[in-house]
Amino acid sequence: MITTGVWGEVSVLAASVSLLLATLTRGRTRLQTPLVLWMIGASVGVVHAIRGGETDVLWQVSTNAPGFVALAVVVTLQVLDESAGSSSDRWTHLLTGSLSTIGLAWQIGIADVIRSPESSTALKLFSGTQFVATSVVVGAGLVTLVNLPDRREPRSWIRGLLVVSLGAIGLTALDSTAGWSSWFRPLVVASILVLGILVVSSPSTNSRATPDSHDARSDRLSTPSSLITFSPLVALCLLLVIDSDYGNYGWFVPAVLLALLAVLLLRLRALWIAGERLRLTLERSIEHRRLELEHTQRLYTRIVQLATDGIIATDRDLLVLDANKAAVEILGVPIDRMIGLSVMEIAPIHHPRPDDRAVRDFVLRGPSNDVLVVIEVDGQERTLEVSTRPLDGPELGMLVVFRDVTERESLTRFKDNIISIVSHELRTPLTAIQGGLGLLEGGAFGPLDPDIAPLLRVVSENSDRLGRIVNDLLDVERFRSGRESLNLEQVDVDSLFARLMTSMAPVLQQKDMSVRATPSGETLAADGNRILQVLVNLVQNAVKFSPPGSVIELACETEATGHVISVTDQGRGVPPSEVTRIFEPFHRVNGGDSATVGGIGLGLAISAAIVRAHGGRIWAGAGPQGGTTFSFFLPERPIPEERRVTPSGSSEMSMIGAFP
Amino acid sequence: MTASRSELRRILVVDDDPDVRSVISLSLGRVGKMEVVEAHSGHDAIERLRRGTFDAIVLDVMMPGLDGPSTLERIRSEFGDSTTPVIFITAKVQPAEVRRLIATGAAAVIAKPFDPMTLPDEVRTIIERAA
Repeated sequence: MITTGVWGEVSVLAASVSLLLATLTRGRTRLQTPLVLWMIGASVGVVHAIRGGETDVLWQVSTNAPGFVALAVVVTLQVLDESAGSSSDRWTHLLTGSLSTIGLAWQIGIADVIRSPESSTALKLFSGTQFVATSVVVGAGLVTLVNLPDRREPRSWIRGLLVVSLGAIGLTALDSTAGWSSWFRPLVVASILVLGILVVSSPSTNSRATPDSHDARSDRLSTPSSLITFSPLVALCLLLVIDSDYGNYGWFVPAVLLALLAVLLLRLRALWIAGERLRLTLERSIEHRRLELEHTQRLYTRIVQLATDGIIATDRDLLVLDANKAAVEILGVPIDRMIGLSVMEIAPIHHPRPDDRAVRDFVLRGPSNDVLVVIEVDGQERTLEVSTRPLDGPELGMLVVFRDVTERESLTRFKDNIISIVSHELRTPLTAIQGGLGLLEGGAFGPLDPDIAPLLRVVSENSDRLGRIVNDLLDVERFRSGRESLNLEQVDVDSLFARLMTSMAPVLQQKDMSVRATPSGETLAADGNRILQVLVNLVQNAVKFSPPGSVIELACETEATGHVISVTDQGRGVPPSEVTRIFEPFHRVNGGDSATVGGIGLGLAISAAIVRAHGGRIWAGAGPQGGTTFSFFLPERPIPEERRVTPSGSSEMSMIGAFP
Repeated sequence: MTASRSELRRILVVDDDPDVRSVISLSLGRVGKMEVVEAHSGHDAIERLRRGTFDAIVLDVMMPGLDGPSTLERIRSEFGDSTTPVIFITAKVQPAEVRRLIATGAAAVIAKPFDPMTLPDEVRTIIERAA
């Protein structure tokens, strides 16, 4: 008897401790109040029992009461959690409902004990504690039942009925003493145990599994709320065991303990599985991220390595951190020798001087674009075009990007030479040809045979044309390369228009066309001869594409930052797709009469180059009454002091005789 | 040097290209009725200047060996001649280049290609201006 009884009490105490531990793991301060209440109630009961020498009651008080109170606390907390929406597990509802119904049944019995005149004060106090505890349980259970999240569904009411039935069975079990239904109590205990096992070890029965239920389950299994769900069960079972007349069921306590052990093991296993799952998920996720990272890194490494430009990353002191393959190839220095060197010391720099502060500033300051640097690679000079960028701020270091432009630069020099050759070698024979023809046509050798004169004119005109092409080519190249300097002066727009009309008169006459200029009274800061060249080109162009007898209009408008000069014709207009391309060298508008209008397509390119050299821009658009308007904008600019006094027109008095 | 328009002018034409040289000569000789002496290089021009005087020198700028400006410098230093007008004739007529040539002490710069029918008048005008 005693041995078995001790087993029972120890079990109850163990359950209470486990319950306490479980609730404490939640770290909720509100747990403390009910726990203190429980201890007070229990202590009072114990003191009374000791005074009255009621050993049986003492046992009861010291064991059952803590269990009940703790049970009440846990259930309350659960209900609070439910109403906070932290859990929606139906099994939890079922369990809470069952417990509350059983609690209700228990209350009836307890009330009898309190009312009975045979009960001692200690027993009454103890029972009163129990009554309070079970009231909480019952209240909480009812709240839970009412708050079933899906109570509109008939099935949840069926479940509710099941709960009440279960409670009724419990009531029967508890009310029966060791008499006719003593076998029934263990059955109920076993049923509740099975229920508990189901709740704890089969979380997948949750019908509300979300798409990522796997993770949700793992989470739930690893949180203390499941322990709490389980702990009241343990306590309840043990209390039922204690209440039973275990004299007749000596085998029952070990059996229950074994069952509990099984439940605990299952619970542990579930936790372990959940942990494993979590670990696997995390590992997979980490691996996935690692692969992603590796992939990105490989991609970027590949991009940098495959770049044909040399790329060097330096620290804030310009010491090389890393370089790509192209950098190694261009500089001819192996990567291991390069790392740690100052970017200024990788190869001898011939130009600009490496100790030049400007160079250091340019690298450090960043971003800089396309600075030409001449270095020595394997005893040969190579020209690099270098751009620098701060690596997310100069204090972190610099990114130096460069390409070998030696070939390009030598081509540029070659082109310069070609231009020089064209300038001299082509013009010299042209001078002889045109001079000779000029003498013949001018009658230096007497009157010409009338049969020869037309032929001579053809030869002469074509040599002039050749001369113009050579001049145009040189002009375009000089302006585009920026080697042509402007002869800035104050230019009176009206007299510029007058000069234009004078020089264009013969051409206009041929097509019976006229030019109308709106007087402006404006003065431009520009190279008068070059702007005249632009206007001649535009008017020539207008004449080419205009019908005979039409009018070309000239205008000059003043804007806030400069002047816009426009030439409007009544020609066939420029197709929209061509409006930007017509300013490219050698570009000619397709179709129509372009085949009949000569030229090699350099006039507009030269005009554009001259306008750009002035810091302006040129564009074409539809004219107000059909035709085309070519406009160019010349910004206001200061004139060098020594040129202010020079009137418009040719300032170089000594340059004479340019022909034609 | 005092001369009138009817006076026979003696011109030294210096150009390394024989064809251009002969066109200039024909222009000045046939059209301008001037006496023309040809030199095929800077050194040749200095030789000619040793043997006689000229009213003007028409000097090509780009010549192998002694180029136009160097020849002018030699003429000025070697003969102490600072009055004979020197007319440069060049294909490079950008303003900067013209300024550079004028700065060497030339009287004028004539662009290639030139009009052979008006060249003699231009040369005559320059001679008169320099006188």
